[in-house]
Amino acid sequence: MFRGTVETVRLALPSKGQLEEPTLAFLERCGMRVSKTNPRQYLARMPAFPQVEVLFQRPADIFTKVRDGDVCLGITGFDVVAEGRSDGDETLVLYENLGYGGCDLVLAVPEGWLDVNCLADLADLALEWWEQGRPLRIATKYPNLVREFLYRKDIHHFTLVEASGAIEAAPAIGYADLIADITATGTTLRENRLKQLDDGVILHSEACFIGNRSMLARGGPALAVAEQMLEFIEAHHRGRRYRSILANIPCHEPAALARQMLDRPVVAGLRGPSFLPIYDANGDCVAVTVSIVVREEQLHQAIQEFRRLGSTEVIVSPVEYIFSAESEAVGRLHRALGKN
Amino acid sequence: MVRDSEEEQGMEQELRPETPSGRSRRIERLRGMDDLLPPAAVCQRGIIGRLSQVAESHGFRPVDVPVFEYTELFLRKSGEVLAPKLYSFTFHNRSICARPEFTASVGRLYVESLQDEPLPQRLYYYGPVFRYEKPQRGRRRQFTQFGLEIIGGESPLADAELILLACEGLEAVGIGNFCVVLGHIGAMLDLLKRLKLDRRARNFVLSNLENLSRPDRGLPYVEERLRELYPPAEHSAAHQQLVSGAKREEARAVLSALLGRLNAESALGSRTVDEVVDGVLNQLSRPDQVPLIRQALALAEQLHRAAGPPREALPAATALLEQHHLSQEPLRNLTDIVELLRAAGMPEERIIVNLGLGRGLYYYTGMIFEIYPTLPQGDEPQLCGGGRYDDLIVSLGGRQRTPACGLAYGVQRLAACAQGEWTSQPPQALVCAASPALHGAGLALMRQLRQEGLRVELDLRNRSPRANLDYALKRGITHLIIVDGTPTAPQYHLAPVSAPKQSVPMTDVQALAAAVRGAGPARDAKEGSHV
Repeated sequence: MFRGTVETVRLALPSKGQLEEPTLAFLERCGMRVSKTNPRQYLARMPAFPQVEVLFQRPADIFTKVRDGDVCLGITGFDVVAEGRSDGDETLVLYENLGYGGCDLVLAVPEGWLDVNCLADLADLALEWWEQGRPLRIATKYPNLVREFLYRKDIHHFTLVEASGAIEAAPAIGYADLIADITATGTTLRENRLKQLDDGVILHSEACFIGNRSMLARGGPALAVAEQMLEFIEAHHRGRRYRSILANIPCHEPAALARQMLDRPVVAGLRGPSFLPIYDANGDCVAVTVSIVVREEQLHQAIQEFRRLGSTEVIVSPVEYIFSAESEAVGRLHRALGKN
Repeated sequence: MVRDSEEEQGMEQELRPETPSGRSRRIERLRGMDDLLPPAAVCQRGIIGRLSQVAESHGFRPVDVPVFEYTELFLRKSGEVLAPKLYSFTFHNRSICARPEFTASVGRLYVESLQDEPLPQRLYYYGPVFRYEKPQRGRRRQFTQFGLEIIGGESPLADAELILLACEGLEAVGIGNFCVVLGHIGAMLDLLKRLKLDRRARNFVLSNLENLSRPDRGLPYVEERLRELYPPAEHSAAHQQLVSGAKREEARAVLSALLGRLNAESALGSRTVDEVVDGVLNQLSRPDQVPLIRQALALAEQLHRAAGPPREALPAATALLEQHHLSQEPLRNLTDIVELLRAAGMPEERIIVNLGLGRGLYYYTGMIFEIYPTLPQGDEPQLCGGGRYDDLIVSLGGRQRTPACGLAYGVQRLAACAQGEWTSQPPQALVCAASPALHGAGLALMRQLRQEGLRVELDLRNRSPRANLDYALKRGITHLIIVDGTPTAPQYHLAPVSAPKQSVPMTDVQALAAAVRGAGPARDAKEGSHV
């Protein structure tokens, strides 16, 4: 059996399905491109991390492999993790919402059930059927999450039908009365003439970054890779909410311009504006290049301000990363491992 | 690189899953489930022994029931509150669970095997029960219950006997300070019936009585739950008018036609058009439950506040029930029980009457009680609890309505409060063979000494006399007996652990036994004189 050497850190990424492409794109945006020599291969490398060996797996398998310590790190759907984890197991969620692969685990009933629109209605139906000795059958791939959710909502009389494949068809085929399944847009539910209960969202899920607690607690390359990946993911997430702006503004007195800009919070920058002087043939400063970073939603306002300050051209570019003095995600990881 | 020591450990090691250090990984205990080491196990056995004596002195007979039952047994009447706590699983397509309590099982046992026997049936039992809860001090996922059921005993007499017995049991295990909180679920059941709450609302109120009386939860917590589970109703009294009485049939016709027009029939799954139409009509005609639930909670809260010693709480509760036009019957029943307890010599200051008391299990129909080490402040562990459930036997398929009541102690909680001395007696002598050739002679001697009524232990590790002496001291063993001579003619050397040099050679086993007994503690000597 193949076992990685001590130096190798195994990272499992989703293969096939809806998570593969977004995951590769996301990692590339975070500066962690995956180099796949052959699209059919299940192994790959990451140029930024020579010690990392990438394995492509099904999302559900990624969770079990990380939990069981066959793989140290993984990216998979949070739904799979929430369903599979148990108290005291080895799975550590390092970053819960990676910002893609969003979907909801929802309860959905046949469209024609006019009397069942919310959980309270379902609770009444469950009791009514139980008194008649009729089981309320719910088809799902997420028995643990569904059971726990329904218990929390005081719904106790139901039977879970664990199924795989096209859950949405269960009520029409007749092996279940309603379903609890993952939906991103609701289209599949509608196509199968099902409706989501108003308050029937059991879980919101995105892609998440997980690791094996014991393997990380040992420190070494595994922890180093996890920390570095977290740094980049976090800095990228922070960075993508900002835009970097370069603007040329005619100016003879930079200090006066700085005061004007500091009075306008939108263009005051994170720590105040910084200037690069532009000189004419006589060696006089006639203009400055201003460089600031603004939140994406304030971009248009910032451009207007620069126009008012006399700017002739404004250059806007995306911010790839913003690293702070310390990474919050790394801090959380250390606390979870009992370090510090 | 393999070190010598690892090589020596050999094959066995290779077969085990290894940790990086090379040692087999330890397998941990399940969360919320405890091991009992000898002192705690001795204590638990002692408590169960004393409680059994008390039960048998009241004419109770022991029964035992399986750890696993069909889940349905516990859901039938125990109420939904237990469902999330069940260790249930599907095994060969049947839903099975580890018992969360005994009463339902014992009820099933009665229906199955004891219905033809004369009543009352007094039964007792003990064993582990399993509840999946957040583990904390005094609340474990596996714990031991000792319980009693009186099947076929009417209130108030059987209730009074049960409560007295509960107290007697506590005293028998050395718990002298405790407080009996006495309630009656009949008052709340009467109110719920009068308010015409639907089943779900009724369950909500009953399952939240306990939360209502918890200082850390109380009414705000229950209100929060209510808002969560009962979103504001969309339909009004006007809707009710539309579908009530004779208009219901008209409404039904309209709805059925509409469903057909919307082509909704093909999207009904397992339900028929009529079922859905009925569902809609029922929903529209059902009065909003929330105000009714609030009314019920308000009375429960008032009753809970009126709790106190019988001579204050009983009149206060009478006034409250009158004010709400509720039956005084539960209170009369409770007064009768208190009278009987008083007549039997129970100090009144031990009793707190609380008509707002609720115990999670729905099968109670009458008196309910809980016993705490001191006045209940909310976080004291309940030592014992029980009540009356006159409907249970019938609901489990019994031939006729059979009055029944019962109680259960939490054995670990008793152990935490019990004052008594719980020790197991160490062996009186350690038998050590001087050489492996004499092991047979050692075993033979052990048998003879045990026949003489002694507790003896054999040295299994071929230790030196010095090491055996150390071991005996640590274990509290009073004598060493060294076996030497030959296998056919063994000789025994008896030495007290306190003075090992004074060893006496002997050949006669009876004399040896007498010497061990003679030098033992006074109790042993007395026991010895009976032999």
